[in-house]
Amino acid sequence: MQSDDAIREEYTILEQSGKNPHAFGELYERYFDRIFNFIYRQTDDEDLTADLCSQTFLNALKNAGRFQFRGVPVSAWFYRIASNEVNKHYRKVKQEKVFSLEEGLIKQLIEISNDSWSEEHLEKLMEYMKDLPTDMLEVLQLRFFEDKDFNEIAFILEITESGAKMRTYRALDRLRKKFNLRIKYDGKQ
Amino acid sequence: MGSNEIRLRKQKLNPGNIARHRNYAALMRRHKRELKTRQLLLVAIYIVVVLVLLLLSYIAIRIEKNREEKKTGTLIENFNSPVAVKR
Repeated sequence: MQSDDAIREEYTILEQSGKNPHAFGELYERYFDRIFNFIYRQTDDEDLTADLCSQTFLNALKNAGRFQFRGVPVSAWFYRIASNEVNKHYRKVKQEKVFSLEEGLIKQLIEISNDSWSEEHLEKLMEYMKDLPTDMLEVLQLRFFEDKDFNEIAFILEITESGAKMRTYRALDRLRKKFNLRIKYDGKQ
Repeated sequence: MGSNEIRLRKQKLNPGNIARHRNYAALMRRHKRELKTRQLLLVAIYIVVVLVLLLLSYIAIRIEKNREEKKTGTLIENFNSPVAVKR
């Protein structure tokens, strides 16, 4: 979690970027990798990710002077723009959305109650996740892979905080019931 | 129900691969180019607006002139009419 001072400091940089675009470089360097990974998890295509990532930062830079403090870190705003860019891309190409997830991270987050992970387990899980609604997958991605709190998730996806919580709990409950999994989640398993 | 494709990756993205795409100078160039395009567009819009205003005022002047010419023509006609000659 970022401290209030750190958040304010980033807002100051953003404000300066409105007048002096070179100031934006610091934020770009700080968040490029995270935003790149975030987009890559929704495209599984490096070149496409590079384009969308560049567009994300360009949009942020264009609107830097107009952005006002909203109680969330500046990075949440970058995630929001990136998420919109990804959705825009999928609307344009009219393809089903891709979620590319790291096996290691999934294994870290989910423990199987009785057994150890096998290919079969993973395949079943993937098959099941395929049927989860996109909005649930988006929330799960932000919560577990990007480590965002509900306030930020709500801001990024432009929903309410309670909506973000509800989507996450519903998705996790489904996973628990279906797979008898223990999910490492906020201390609650 | 969702309509997504879920893919599983063994590896995380290599930081070296990401670094290959990180290019702040290119972003700045794109930003400057877009700013220039936006400014050119604004200038073009300004010129079009001014031209339209000029055209409208020209049309208005022409209409006014025609109206005045018609008025003067009617006055002369009235002056040359038999009623006017009798007087």
